[in-house]
Amino acid sequence: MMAARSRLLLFLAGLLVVVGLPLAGKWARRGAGPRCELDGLTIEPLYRVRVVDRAGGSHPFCCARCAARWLARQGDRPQAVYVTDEAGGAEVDSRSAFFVRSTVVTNPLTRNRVHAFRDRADAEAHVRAYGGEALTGVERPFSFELDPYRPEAPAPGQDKPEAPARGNLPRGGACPSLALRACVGLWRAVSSPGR
Amino acid sequence: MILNTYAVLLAFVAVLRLLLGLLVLGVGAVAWRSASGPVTPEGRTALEDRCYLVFLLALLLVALNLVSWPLLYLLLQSYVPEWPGVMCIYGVTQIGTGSLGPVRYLPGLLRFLQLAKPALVFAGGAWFVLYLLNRRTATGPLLGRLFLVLLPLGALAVADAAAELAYVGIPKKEEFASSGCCTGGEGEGAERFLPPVLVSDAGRPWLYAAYYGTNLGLALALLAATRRPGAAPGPGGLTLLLLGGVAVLAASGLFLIEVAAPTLLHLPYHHCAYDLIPDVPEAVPAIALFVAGCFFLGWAGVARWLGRSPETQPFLAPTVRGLLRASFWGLLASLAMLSLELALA
Repeated sequence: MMAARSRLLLFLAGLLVVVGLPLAGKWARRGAGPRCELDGLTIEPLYRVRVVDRAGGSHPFCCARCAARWLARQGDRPQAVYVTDEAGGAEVDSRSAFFVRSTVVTNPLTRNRVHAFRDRADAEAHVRAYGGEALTGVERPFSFELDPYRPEAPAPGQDKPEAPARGNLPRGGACPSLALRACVGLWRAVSSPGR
Repeated sequence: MILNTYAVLLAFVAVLRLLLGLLVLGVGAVAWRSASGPVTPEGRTALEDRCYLVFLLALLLVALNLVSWPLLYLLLQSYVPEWPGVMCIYGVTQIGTGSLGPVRYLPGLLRFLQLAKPALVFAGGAWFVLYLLNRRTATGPLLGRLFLVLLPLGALAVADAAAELAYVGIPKKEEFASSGCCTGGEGEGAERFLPPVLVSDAGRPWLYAAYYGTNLGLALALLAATRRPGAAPGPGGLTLLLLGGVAVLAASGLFLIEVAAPTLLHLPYHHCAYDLIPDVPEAVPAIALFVAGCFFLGWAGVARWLGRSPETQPFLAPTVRGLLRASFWGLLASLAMLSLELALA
């Protein structure tokens, strides 16, 4: 009788551990923040990158490098990629953002040195302060994964909206390809440190 | 050398194990030689005293070996913040790869330690099972076999403790040749700290099937083998169970790394079971229960084949049955726990 009771108690204790531990673990992590979907690092809000896939699912990453590596493993092109403006903290569509590769490492694991800005002036200020260069054309992150920028169709009677400038360009809106190269070269010559 | 609380604790335990291992080896070898020759009544008393000493030392060694297993992983976890590119224990295990100087020995030492720890715990458990069987007899017929298991156990413990001390003591500053792996482009050096993917997404359903199929199959076989009280399976049945245990071990190890860890961690591309220790600690008891289940099955085999003698015959079958029952409960509890965790993830 005593042995049967001991066995029953042992069984109930074991059942409590087997069921209770997973539930307790789930409950303890209920408030945990999002982590990079590629390497599991905690996401620094200022460098957060968010990929929206074709199905509308949102995938957060700790840096542009992780997002690019994750995208390289996907079959489909994403719907959109949003980067975070390092100057203001707001989310920006990567197709309209200004990218800079500087000496500042945002993520010690991936050694990402690509920085995103909403405004050209902030990108230029970053390059002046920390060195580096603007990323243009195929150098821009996600340039292969995303469809080219297509501004929304203008309403009847309105002018066609101007496409945002790509990369860290001189002021003046969109540049044709030859003019763009000239602009970038001129800007680099003027702004590169030590020149 | 990186000195923190865990490094000091592990080094202290390693020194104790090194001394105990040497003592067990020395005193055990002398006792074994005395036991194998003709024994006078005075010699018999001296031998019994020596055996008590050896077995007490061995019990302490087995306990310290068991403690040093989780301690090693706690130490490795505590080393993670020491290198800028490392995010988990897998990265720590890669430190020294392709490097120059003594640091290049670190990956090899860690590989040895990670294999030696479970081997030590299994050997220690096997010795303990034989020790318990021998204690229940009047004349100690398993004394020679106890030494047969104890001497390799002592030698392995000495090697493991020495490797552990070397691992803690070696300076962990990497030096690469000018054309080394970390001189490439941006981020290239960090790639080595991320675990490789062994099975593609297409293989996941197969891994699920292999994991549940082998585990449920073995659990049912264990239940069937221990159905009759007081009876244990014969040598053929036990051999089949042990072969099943090997298959379960392989399928479950792969399932843990390739399916369970990415699912529990919510990181589909991070196939690393080490991350479960800090991030999903409730998965560790499930893994421990699984390992215990496999070890109990192995110890049943050891008891069946090394514990046989006319004196142990009356209680050998119940002992083997008890070990198989423990194996069944360990595997079943692990399966239930991991399934619940996967369902909640």
